[in-house]
Amino acid sequence: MYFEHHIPNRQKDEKLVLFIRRHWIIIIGHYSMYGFLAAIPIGLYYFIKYANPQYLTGEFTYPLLLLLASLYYLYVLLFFFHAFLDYYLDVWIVTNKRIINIEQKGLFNRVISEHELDKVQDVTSEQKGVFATIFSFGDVLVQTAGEVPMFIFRQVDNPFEVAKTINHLLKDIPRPINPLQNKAPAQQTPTNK
Amino acid sequence: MIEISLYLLLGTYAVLVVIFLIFAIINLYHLIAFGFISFESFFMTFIFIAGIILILFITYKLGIEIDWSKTVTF
Repeated sequence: MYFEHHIPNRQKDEKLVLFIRRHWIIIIGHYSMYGFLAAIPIGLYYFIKYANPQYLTGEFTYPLLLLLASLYYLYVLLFFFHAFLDYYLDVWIVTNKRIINIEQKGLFNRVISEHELDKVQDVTSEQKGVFATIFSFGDVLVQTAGEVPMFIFRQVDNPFEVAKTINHLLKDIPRPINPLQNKAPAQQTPTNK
Repeated sequence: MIEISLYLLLGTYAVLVVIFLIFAIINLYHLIAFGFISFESFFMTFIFIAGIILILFITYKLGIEIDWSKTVTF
């Protein structure tokens, strides 16, 4: 559960509207891969048992295989946990004032970027592929006028609904007047002198 | 002729386990520092720590039967 007081640099009267992670099927896909990796030594064990059983009793090969298997499982577990962290710590937060993108890139790189809603220019959602259509996940592309030109909510659940919610929020916020838009008609006014 | 002590294997294993533990602690730190307490994170942390203990325990139980002071000649 993500409580409102966890919003980074929370502003006055700021309310949480959406708290989004990747779709659960993405992490299930990663877990399946680690399940497969965990099964490899079991297959190898039976292969060695029937092909070269002396390796399982050898005074050098047995300790070697034991320690290798132990290390293999420890590191598979570590990558399994890291895959969970990568999923769990990557979040997109939409409030009534801002869009915040929090990304954990590797172990030592964490990026938090944010944009005021009034800087948002366009919101697009897309669902590509069979799996995305079946499980209803996809990307939401938020184009902004700031330093970070685009936020991409990757592989989120129900992207069309997310885009709709953001578009609703955009209608409610006051937009700053663009000075270029005001000057443009003045330059085009014909002079009849 | 090459002589290899089984302690060499054990020493290498110990070094790699220490490296593993450093990364494990960094991962757990990330979860505590940037994550938030929820059933999901608690459950995954439990699976992770229980998995580590189980793997090390099984390795210890199987490894205790080996005479690590032996030297193997190739």
